[in-house]
Amino acid sequence: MWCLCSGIGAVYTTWFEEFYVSRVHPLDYDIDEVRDNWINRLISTSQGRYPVELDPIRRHCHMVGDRNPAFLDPAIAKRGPYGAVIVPPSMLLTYFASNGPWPPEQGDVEMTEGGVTFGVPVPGDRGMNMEVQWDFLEPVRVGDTLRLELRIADVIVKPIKYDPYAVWITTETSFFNQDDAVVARWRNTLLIHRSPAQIAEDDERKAS
Amino acid sequence: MSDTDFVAERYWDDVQVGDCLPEITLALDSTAMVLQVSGSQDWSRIHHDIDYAKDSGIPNIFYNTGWTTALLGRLMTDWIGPSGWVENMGFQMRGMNPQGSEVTASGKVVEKRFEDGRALVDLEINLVNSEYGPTTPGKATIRLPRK
Repeated sequence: MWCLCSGIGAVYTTWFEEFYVSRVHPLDYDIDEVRDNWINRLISTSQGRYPVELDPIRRHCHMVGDRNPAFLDPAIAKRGPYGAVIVPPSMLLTYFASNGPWPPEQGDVEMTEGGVTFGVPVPGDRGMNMEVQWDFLEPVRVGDTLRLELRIADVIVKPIKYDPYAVWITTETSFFNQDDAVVARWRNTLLIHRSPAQIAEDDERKAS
Repeated sequence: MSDTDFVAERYWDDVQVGDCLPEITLALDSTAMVLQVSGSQDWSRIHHDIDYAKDSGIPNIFYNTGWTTALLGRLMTDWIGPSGWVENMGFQMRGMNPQGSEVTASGKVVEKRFEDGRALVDLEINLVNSEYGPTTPGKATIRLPRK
């Protein structure tokens, strides 16, 4: 089990499906302490479970009807500028640079034990991405092996319409190939909010 | 079938500011939802479980970041030719693309420039949803070969 080590009192945890989450009551939530403890923390240094493979690329392309032979046809791609099938720039490289969601493997915090918040304590456990920025530096070919380094870049409290204690977590991830070259960088902002039931539950304590 | 020409090069010299990329429209039906989970391996229930979405205070499941990135990526890689390269892309998810709606990906050339010897084209990109209008404004820079 990966430890939260938040240094915050009144942290309580639950198992939600296969994901480990932490919920802190808003009355106990100290955003300054969270920022001090988590910003710039290296969260994951995972290595891809498998080399870059053709079939996940095919399924990625199928998702949006992409028929580009640079991503799908080894014979045509071999004659192209990269000499092999490459990963579409739009394919989130976490797919090939982490252990993936199944089977769970200890140590791959991002995709398994850290859950949606990467371990950052938050009042809610419901998440959605809000903003992404990608830099694609080098082509990634079938057969390459990838690893990543993911850090927490920022944590803020910013209310949304239905949750005044919504927390916004920004991560920065660098992806490396087998030659240790950085092939891509990814900055992602995730919104973590409470469900209506969680808000009602938290409000009961505030009222008491 | 797609009528995209994946063999022909697109040269920087031939691109004009104001050019529009061919739009792509997808229906977000049950098959699309399953393909989204298969293709992205994103098992968050908010993207496939309507009861979970409602429990989260959201009226419908919505399509995930991997799918969104894939569609905007396809918009560009369908257009840039075999030697084109997407240098960067970024977008904000300001609205949801929910199950049962239709989404159109669009893009427009807003600038041409050189930087460190690279011939670059800046794009504005977006997804427009049939229920919510523009949901995913973004920008991207692509590198194209010269004649």
